[in-house]
Amino acid sequence: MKEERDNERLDEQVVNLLTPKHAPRCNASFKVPETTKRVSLWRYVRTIGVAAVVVMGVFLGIRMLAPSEARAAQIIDRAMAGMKEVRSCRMQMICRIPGKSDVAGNLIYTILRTEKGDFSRMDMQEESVRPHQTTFLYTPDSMKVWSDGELEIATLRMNQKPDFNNWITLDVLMGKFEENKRNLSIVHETDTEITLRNSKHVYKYDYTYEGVFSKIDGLVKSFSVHGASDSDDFTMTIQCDHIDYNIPLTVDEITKAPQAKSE
Amino acid sequence: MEQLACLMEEERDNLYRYACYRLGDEAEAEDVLQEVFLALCGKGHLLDNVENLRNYLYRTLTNQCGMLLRKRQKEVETMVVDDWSRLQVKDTEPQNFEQEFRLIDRLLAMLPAEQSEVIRLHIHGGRTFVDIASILDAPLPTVKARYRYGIEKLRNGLRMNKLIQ
Repeated sequence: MKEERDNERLDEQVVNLLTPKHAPRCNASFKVPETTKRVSLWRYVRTIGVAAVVVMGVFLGIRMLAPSEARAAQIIDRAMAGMKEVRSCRMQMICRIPGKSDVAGNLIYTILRTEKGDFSRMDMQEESVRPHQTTFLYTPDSMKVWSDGELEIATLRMNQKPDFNNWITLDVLMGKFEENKRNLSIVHETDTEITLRNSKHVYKYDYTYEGVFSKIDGLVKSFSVHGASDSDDFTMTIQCDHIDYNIPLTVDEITKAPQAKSE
Repeated sequence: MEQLACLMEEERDNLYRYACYRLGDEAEAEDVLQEVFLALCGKGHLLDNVENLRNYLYRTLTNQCGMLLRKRQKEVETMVVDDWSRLQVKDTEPQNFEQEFRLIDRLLAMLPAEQSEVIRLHIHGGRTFVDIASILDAPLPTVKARYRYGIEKLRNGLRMNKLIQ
């Protein structure tokens, strides 16, 4: 009994030692920013890309659908419907931003739909400036981020939608195409494929989005995004040459931790 | 977003105290709070789906501090676990933030990271054990046990080295 009381008394001393008595005062104030600070060029480029598509939709909202636009819109509708049936998908993208920043990177985006819920993953390999590898993984219950193979974040998903630092995914790309059907144009057509294009000028940047859609199953098979600005010598290209659908993929495979970077 | 800003103001002292004693640098702690705030603002309407924004805020802060510490791991002094010899009686009476941070940091370095994190969130962040269980995604009994074992280990170490009596 005495020992118990002694321990309690000592525990109070321990807690007292751990309790700050000289904590500095915080002078920061938190006001909602008009625009969110972007810390990396990747994020900057992605945001502009997404914003370009959104503005296109608003700008062209008053236009009537021309026959070719109506046909293009039908293709997008078919692709969206087809996407809902897809059980798994993998697409590899290459991004190049030559010039001062000289960013170059490869991205692999993978999704798997199961009875328990959706899994999605983005593996980003930045090759220039500072070689760096980042992997984002969303399972039905959790979200994880690895940096150079080291697990940096592991949290509950808490009903969040997947957010790969705003990087454009297939869902996002298709969603943006769907929002901007009025601006779609057909640039090329074969017996099996049809290529649609969206172009828009935002601020001082010109963006062009192109997608190749299958006439067989309606799905988008490849796409590219090109951005350029004359005033600050900026160019950006994102190229995805092939998208694989309904590939054999297991939960273990999509949730596998990336390999740690060798020293 | 206004809700987030209000919450940040409301929790400012707890968040800042946690960050200060985690990072040991007042300016860096303030920067981290701003970064967390901006990062959450950037999530926009996605925050609407978050069940408990307060706990989510703390979770984001703990992750952000953890990432920052890992990045500067090679630069900062690292202490060998169970090295009580570096603590002296005079260290237990800190006179300013720097001395106090050093004491708390050295004490918590004696513990496994899971235990020290629970102690930090409870004592510095002012979180309840229920909140901490949610923030760390761990069962409530585990969180309580981590706290108890952590305090117990520090008590035994401090007593054996005659730093408390």
